[in-house]
Amino acid sequence: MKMKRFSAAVTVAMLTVAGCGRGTQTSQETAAGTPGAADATVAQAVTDFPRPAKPSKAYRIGVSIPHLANPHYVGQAYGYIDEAQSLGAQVTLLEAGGYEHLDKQVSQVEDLIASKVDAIIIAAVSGPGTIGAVEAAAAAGIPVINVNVMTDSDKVVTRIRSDDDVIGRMQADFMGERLKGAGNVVMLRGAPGTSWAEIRGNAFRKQLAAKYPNVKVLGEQYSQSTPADGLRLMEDFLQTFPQISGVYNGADSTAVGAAQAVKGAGKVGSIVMTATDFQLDTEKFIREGVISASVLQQPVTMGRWGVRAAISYLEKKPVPPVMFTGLMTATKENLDSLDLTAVRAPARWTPPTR
Amino acid sequence: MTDASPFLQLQAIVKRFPGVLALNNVGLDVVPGEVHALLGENGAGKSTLIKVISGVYRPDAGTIQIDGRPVDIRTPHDAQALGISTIYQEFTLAADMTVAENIFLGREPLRVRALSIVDRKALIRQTRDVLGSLDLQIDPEATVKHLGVAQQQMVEIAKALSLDARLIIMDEPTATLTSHEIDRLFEAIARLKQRQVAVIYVSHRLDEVKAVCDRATILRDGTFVAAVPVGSTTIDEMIRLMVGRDLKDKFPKVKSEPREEMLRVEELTRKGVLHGISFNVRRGEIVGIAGLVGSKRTETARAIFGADPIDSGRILLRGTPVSVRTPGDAIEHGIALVPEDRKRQGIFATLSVWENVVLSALRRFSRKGILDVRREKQHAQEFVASLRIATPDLEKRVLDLSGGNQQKVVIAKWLNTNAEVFLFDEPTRGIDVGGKIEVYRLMGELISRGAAIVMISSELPEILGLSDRILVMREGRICGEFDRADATEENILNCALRGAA
Amino acid sequence: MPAVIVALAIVFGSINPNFWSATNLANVSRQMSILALLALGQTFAILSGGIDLSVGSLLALVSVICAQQMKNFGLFEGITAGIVAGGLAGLVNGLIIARARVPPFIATLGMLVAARGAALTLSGGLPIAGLPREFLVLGAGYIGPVPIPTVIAAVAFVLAHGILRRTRFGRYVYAMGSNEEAAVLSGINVANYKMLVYITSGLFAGIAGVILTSRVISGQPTLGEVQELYSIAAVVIGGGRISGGVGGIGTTLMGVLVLGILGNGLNLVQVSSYIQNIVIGVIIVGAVYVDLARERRR
Repeated sequence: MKMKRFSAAVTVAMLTVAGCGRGTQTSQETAAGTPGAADATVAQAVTDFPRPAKPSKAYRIGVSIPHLANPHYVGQAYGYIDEAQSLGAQVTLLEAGGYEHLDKQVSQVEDLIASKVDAIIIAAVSGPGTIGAVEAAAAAGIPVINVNVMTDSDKVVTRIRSDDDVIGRMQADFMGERLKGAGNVVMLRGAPGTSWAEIRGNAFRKQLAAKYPNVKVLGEQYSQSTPADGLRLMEDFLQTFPQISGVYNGADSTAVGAAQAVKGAGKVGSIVMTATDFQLDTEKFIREGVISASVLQQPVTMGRWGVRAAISYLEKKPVPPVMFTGLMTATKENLDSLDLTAVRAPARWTPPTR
Repeated sequence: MTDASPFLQLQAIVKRFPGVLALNNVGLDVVPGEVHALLGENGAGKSTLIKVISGVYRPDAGTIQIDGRPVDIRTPHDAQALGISTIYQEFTLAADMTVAENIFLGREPLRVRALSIVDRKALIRQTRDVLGSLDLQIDPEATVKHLGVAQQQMVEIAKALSLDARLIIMDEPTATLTSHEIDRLFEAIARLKQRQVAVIYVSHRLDEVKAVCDRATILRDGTFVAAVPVGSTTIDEMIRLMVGRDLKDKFPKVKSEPREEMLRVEELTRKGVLHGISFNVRRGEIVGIAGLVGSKRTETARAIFGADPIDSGRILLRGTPVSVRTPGDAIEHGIALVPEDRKRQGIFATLSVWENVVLSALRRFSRKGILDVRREKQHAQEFVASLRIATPDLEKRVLDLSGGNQQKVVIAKWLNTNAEVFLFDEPTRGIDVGGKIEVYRLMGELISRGAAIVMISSELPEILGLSDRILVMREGRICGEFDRADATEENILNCALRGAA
Repeated sequence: MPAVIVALAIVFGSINPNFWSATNLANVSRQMSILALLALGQTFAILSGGIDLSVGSLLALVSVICAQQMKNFGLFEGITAGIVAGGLAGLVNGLIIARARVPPFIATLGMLVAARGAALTLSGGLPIAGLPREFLVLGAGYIGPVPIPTVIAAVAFVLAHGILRRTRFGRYVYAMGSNEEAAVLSGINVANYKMLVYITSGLFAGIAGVILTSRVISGQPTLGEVQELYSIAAVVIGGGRISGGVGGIGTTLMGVLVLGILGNGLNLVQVSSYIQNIVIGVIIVGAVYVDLARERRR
């Protein structure tokens, strides 16, 4: 456990250092990656980014995302492709096959560089791991847009993501309220080495400590972002800590698994579970009351903004260095009144498998 | 018998492999109830011909007729359907299944057809019938792996019969049998003849051919030489037809006066295997070791060579005790082992001729582990020439050489290590007549150069023809020693069987 | 096989002219270098009649150790530690195979699982970031127009070829794989040379791991999944016999080129990565089939 915290701290430090090398934009850049400066970020980050005018040229944009096994990324893929259509651009969408295939994503970015795309959008499999690839693109004169999961490099044009810090705090606030200020929580943080897993988890811990000191974190685990990992880890947690009253999930992929573990242990109703995002299973478990709340990101918006940022940059229009897409909380109560157009791809839409 | 219309008739069969014309215009006809020998040196094309008949290879040209009708044998299954069964040297029985299950494998009598439930009683009964027709006393419910080699062979024959075979091909059927077992095999063959089943009999043992076969087809270098009635052809004539020349002396013995003692083995013991083995060999001497299969002759050689551990006893070279714990030690001391199973223990089939020849002597061709390949090849070339190894070039894989030439490659490997003590274990097994004589010539050359040779052999004429002295082993002990002058097949066999000279 | 490679290159080049661009060729060769190094080690293992399933996991273990030592002690120390770690893991494989006589498949399967576990344990499951920027040069730099990983892989190929064809060790590798029993009876110290085989494989995995660490400029415990299978594929596609004794650096190079060009080319002509996997699977089986068919016709 000690080792993990140490490494996490290092990651954050890297972000800070990286940000420092960039002159005038330093403060915002640093803020983006640093949970500690979250309040300042919210104030400075752009929270709306309208569609630019359709350019005369048909730009070729390469997109590399971690995988398509999660509806979150399917929504994002829809955002890229639909927006590109509106702007007359052509998107090459590549997926690395999972967070464990860093080498594949690096190779994919290199291939995109070699095929001379006009811009590259990357949702990083690993923050530090993609530095080399991103900087190689920058060196080749190809602008790189970071979406959703950040690369630990200052060579990106802009960072488009949810305010992960806010996601962590929203989950902490919900948890604290539901537990009435006292309880025992475990954390399934998600994919190790990703900005979202780090920032959300850290913010969750910090917020709990500040506002609900009697809600204790008993343990935390990183894992690949899959239901299977969530199920396995949660079953083990339930064995280790019978007194669990709350479960935090950095992403809903682990939550879907964890929910099954909670059901299996017959603890539905006695455990408060929070998550991020909104797969169909997540919706189902919220309806059943197994998952208590999920913070919904807007992956479709992320995709759209990614393409808008790339084209704006290529058209020499200003692009803000940090942009936050919107968030909302889904609970059993508001489930049927949510507007999901920015959250999910249309029901029948499937990503192009070229 | 040759007047009957043939069951199988091959005409002008041609089979090419890359770089080799394996069969060139070969013909063969086999009539029902006939035992037909297929003779020829290794590499003459016997195996290829058998494989053509049994559907393993397809000929490039020529016709095959069965009962006068042309047929196309594409697979072993086709051959079986046409009534042709083949019994290979390595049996194809399932070792963990019973005799009955093996004989009717895939054709079990069923009680409930739809559910594939085997009718065990019928299975056993039918197996008894088949075994009985060959007058065999084998339990249908015995597990095959618990049977002896000879009995397994009988099961193969029974299986062929149960498949309504009209022709059974036997490839070296007596290679691993004792003489008593060979008699039983001949009885079984006689019964096959009565039932008008034809047999193609492939063997190097011409005395057996003489005893059991009606006609012989002789091949040489992939061509048809002659088809002769066995009854009126002498063994010498058959050999002449096979090798294309007269063999004046089957055992060319080089005269060599034994000199000082080279190797002495004292009380070599390995618990449960070897019991106090003691003997010596002098320079210029061949000591033959005779004995039945299982008398631990191979184990003796392996122990001397350091391939198997010993519990007690010692080995002396030139009067000095030496420690031999590994084959590497043995080689260092100038001991060489030409093992009995050439394919499994002797050659590196996928490596080239030259790589095989120099393999045990790489230290001589390397400095600090770096090889001088040019010198290696030069050296190998000299051995290929002096041993008359028949290979188109040095790069040829040993796999593609004939048995006799493979054995020469193994011998060349040891000549390279400057060995002075040679342990030959069945040096001519599976080698054709011409090849045997070459190996004998080499052995003669070795002793005339002052080497000492221990030769293990199951072929008594070989033992008697070459050895200066003969040791007989039985159950891990040396039970007798004969001078060349006193030794006869009779007294050696007597000793090997009963343990007394 | 060379004809296949040329054909692939022509097809990809005609569909997407970028295939022949200097950047892309540099690219393909850089990407291939990791697999190439693993395949070299695998060539030794397979030629000797064994197999090394651990090379993929070793990438991760090497990466983590390299990154940790680099942060603690410095650039050179980290690189050395990574390569040594690979060699040591190979030594453990070798001891288990040669001394304890556990079949190579099982011994290295154990190492596959254990090395991954060790990488995750040492790193706590997290990437190790904050490596010195200069380290990036190893994976991303160039010597002239040629990427440094390509240069390293090329040197390694020449070296390995020399070892296999010009040293006693190399000859014994072939001999063991061709006929182990005959090798023993020919006086070869089979146990020692087997150890050397797996140490060699481990060292190549170590070098590959260090380069990969540089490419991702961080220690990553999840690197190298299924790379061991691709390294085996590279060996057999070119014509190496899976049971040993036949093949060599030349055939392995062919295999690496086919896999590398295929992967890059299919990306460039925009074939989905799912379909790419199907293509690669078919090629693995097809190449070995063609080889066997050629052998049977003899």
